[in-house]
This record gives sequence, C-alpha cells and structure tokens, in this order.
Amino acid sequence: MRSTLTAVVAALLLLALGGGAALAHQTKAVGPEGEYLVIVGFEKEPIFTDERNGLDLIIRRAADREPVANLEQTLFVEIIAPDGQARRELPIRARHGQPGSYTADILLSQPGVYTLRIWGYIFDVAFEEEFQTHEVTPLAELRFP
Amino acid sequence: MAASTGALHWTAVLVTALAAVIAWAAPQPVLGHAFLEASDPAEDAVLTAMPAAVRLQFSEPVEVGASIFKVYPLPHEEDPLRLKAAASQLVNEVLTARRDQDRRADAGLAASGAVADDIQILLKEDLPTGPYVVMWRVLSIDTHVTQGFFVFQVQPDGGP
Repeated sequence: MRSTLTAVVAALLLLALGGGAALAHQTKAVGPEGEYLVIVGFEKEPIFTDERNGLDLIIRRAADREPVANLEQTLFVEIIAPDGQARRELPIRARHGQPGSYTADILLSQPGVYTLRIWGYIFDVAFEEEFQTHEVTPLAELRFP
Repeated sequence: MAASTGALHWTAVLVTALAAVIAWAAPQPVLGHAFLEASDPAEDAVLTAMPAAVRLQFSEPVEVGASIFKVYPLPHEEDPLRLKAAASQLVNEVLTARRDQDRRADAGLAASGAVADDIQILLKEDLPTGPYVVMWRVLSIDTHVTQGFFVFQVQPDGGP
C-alpha cells in the first residue's frame, strides 16, 4: 500500500515537474518500501523504426527524487522484439553529466511494441521489472511524397 | 577523358561530403574527456597480496588538485554483483566526503604534478585482506568532470 502510494505521489511529481519527454516515460517503484523509482523511455519519442535511438533509463530515490548515480555496473536491460523471438542485452552506460541517468544506443528495425526487462541492484535493493514501449511506428509513414 | 575526370572529381567531392555528414551525425563517444583506460590492479582483479599503490591511467590528463581519488575497504561479500552494488552505494556516500582519512585505505597520491594522466594512489600499510573499491572524480583539462569506480580483492589463497 505504502509503495503504491509512493509510486503515485512520485508519478504526480514527475508529471508536475518533468519535461515533455518525461511524459512519455513509464515509472515503477521498486524495493520493499518502493524506495526507488525506475523511469524508462527512449531518447526520441514517439519512436520510429530505422532511426538511431537510445534507451532513457533514470533512477531516482522515491522520497526526495534525488538521482541515484553510479549504478551502471549493477543495472541490466534486455530488449525483446515485438515478435517475442529476437532479444538482446543492452550495454548500459551512465550518461555523462547527468547523474542517475543511463542509456544504451539502439536502432529498432521492426514496428510494434517492444518489451524491456530491467533488473539488477540499486544498492542493496534487488529488482526485476518489465516495461512495454509505446507503439514503434514505421519510419516509412513519414515519407512524403 | 575530360568528362570522365570531371565526373570522378564530383564523385570524390560527393563521397567526401557524405562522409563528413555521416561523421558529424554519427553517435560520438565524448572524446576528449578523461576516462579510465587502464589500472593496476585491474578491475575485478583478485590478488594474493596487497599492492603498495593503485595506478590509474586516464585517456586525457586531469587536473590533479581539482580531482578526487579514494580507496575504501568493502565488507566481505561472496556475490560479485552484490559486492559491486555495495561499492556503488559507498561511492555515492563517500566520494565527496571530507575528513574521511581514517576510514580510507589510501594514503593520498604519489607526486604526479598539477596535471597528469597517470595517477598513483598510495595505500596504507598493513591493510587487511578483502575487497576494496577504487573511486575517482576527475576534472580533465577540457574542464569536463567524469567519475567512476572499480573493485579489486586481496585473498592470500587466491580466491575460489
């Protein structure tokens, strides 16, 4: 109950204070008390196929929204294609100059909804969560004429 | 012949321009920043004896006086991932802490000048065996700040 409340409050704070890009991101509270927020999206949203993009993974402390840095060695992300067959573990790196922000480069080649499995440790909190991306649109839909 | 030479010239110009655009648009690692290139002990090394110093080799020179280098002992932990998690928590807690000499395993830096890409962190004498974390926050001469850490262990029997 407490973790749910923490997540709701944190999500409202993010909506109130976050930028436009953060609106498309998804947030889950992890830990026995919902101590940490795992916020996931992509650098470029909406997401199109066949253009360079990147994971946008943000870890914050739920209580005060302080970013949690230095987790790049204990966070792991696997991306699963819409068909559920192809999967790849992404090499996570910390974003330079943005504590608590992590990324991995990727180019999505199939339209549809991808699954992101994220697991590891945030300090002493072990977690594993799945996120679904928003619909990835074929880049061809933008072509004109 | 002149026509084909002209076509060749323009092809070369186009290829060069295309290469320039690709080079400009391609994802670039932040070149010029000081990233750790090598260390002794190496990341995740298991040693049989405590070294006298830790050596860090950066990709670019760093402003030594404006940078932080520390070595801390870690609690024993069998699981390597949990050990790294404990290290990351400690780094967040103590990297910028002041007056923490008593808790640290290092005794400061060997003389390396105001700017250096090769840093030697001296270790205290008679340190116990076990895991240690080496952490740093460096100001490179291009004024960018980077930070990182790694773990090494000292086990007289060489470990499992």
